[in-house]
Amino acid sequence: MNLKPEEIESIEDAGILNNQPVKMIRTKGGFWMAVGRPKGKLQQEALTAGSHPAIVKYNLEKQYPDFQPAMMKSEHFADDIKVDRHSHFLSDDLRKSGHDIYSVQKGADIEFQITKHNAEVHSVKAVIQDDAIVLKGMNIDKKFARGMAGATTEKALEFGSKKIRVEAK
Amino acid sequence: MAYLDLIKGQDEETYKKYAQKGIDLIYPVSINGETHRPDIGVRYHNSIKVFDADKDNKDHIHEKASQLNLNPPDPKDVQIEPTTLQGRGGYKMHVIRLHGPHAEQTQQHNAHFNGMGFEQNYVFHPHITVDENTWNRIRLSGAKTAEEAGIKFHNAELRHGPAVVQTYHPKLAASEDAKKVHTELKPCTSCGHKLTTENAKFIGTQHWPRHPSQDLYNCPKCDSTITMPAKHPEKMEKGLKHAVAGMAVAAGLAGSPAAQAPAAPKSATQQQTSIAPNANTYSSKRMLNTIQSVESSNGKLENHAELTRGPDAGEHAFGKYGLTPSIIRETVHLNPDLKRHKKIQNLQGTDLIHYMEDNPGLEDTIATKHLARLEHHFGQNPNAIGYAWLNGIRGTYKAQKQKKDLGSHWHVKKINEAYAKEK
Repeated sequence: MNLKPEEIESIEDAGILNNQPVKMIRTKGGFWMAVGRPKGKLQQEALTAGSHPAIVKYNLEKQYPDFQPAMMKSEHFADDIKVDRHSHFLSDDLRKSGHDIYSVQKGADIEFQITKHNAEVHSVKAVIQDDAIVLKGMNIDKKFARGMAGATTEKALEFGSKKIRVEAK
Repeated sequence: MAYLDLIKGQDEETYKKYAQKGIDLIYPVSINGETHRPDIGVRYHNSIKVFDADKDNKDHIHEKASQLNLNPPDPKDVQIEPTTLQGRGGYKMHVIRLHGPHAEQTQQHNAHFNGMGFEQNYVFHPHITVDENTWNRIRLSGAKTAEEAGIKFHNAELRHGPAVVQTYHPKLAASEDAKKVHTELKPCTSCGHKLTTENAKFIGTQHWPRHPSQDLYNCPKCDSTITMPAKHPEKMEKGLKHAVAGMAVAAGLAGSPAAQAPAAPKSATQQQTSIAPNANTYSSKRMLNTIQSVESSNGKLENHAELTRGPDAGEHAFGKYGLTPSIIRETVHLNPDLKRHKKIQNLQGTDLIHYMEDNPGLEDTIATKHLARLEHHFGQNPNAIGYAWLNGIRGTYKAQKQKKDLGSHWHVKKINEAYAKEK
């Protein structure tokens, strides 16, 4: 993948991997990319990418257990953001075609992101209210319905929420 | 206080309190002349049965105990294994586990009192609980028999707390009287030494599927192993256990991860037996490789058939080790270091399989931890582990209780074949 300087919006230090710096690049299109030099490689390369910096960090830590994250300026990359992958609820076909479901949670706010090859396909915002998870509308392709239901249920179980509500927009 | 809590060890003071007021049928023991534990002052002993003072009647216990030949074990014939029992609270009890014919007899005596005492949901195995210093001394001495460790067994006693209610003096059964008449055996085939049942050491009985069983003796002069026609061929299973005492079956009953079978006398013929091949060179890695080879031809055939019975009916096993969904969930539940995967408890079917696929390495971790759990229950015994991998821990205990021959089970046979090939 070749990125031209005019396509880059910002570059930030993300941490260290094998004593080499890892940079977080944000493109003008809103795509995030972690760039660094993996062990045994001579050149820098894209380590992982995603539609949300917290998802990039999550995948970076999973794929490279030696990665040491740095304190980052970006609020999207803050330590109080919790990312979970729920792709196990997707059908074999959707998984094979590169789809994933993530939840990105900060405080009571949750954002469910459905991605294809790390690019956002759908986003559903939700909020934890009392004993319920309230989804703020659900405008997604019906083929993701089961996956979305699983992801929401998993999140509800995590917080002991008794109800899942969908609010019309 | 339930005995189970005690045997699993809550603390030494609890153990002491119980010993001071419980009813026990025991062989009192002395170790290097010492009769009491130096740390808590409790009598060293080898329990035959522990009774419930609130429920069991002493006269009834005595009546039943009188029916038994409670002859104290001969320390020369008792093989020992220093090991630990770990309780739910994490406390370790230092024990000297006993193996061999006497230990088996004590197990039978224990079973004689079935229905009495506390509920036993564990396999009783004879042992002596000792203080840590004594345990370390015995362990470091490398003693293999009770005699080498300076352990002596005394006449059995029924005790209520520190009070001796009854002492049982040795009695010779008619068959034992007969044993006192030493029969002449054929001369040693190596050195020609004249052998009798007195001077030749009886090793055990060797069973052959299509040939008469044979008794094995050790020549005291040249140390050769001599075979004679078996006197009690019908006691094949027991004799075989004697011959390889502690090797596989006893290790299976041991129920400890550290349970190493005591070295059994070796002979060319014994190596042909069908139980636990190369038991002396057991390693968890070798066992895992064996399981992998049997379950999926080392990962080549991971499409497992649908499970038709048990808690996983309708689901599929996963991966190279053939881990069932319930084993995956249970192992994650039992291991706090896998807490980050706790969501797996709510997953079933393809969702669970996808989760395992999304977490490479989790399969190996779960298989390793599950194997460690089986080793804890059944010792380093490929037969019992092979059986338990398919039938679960309860199923294996049940089979052992029903005295099923685990070695003849199809899965165990496969495991044994593969285990022998693994390095």
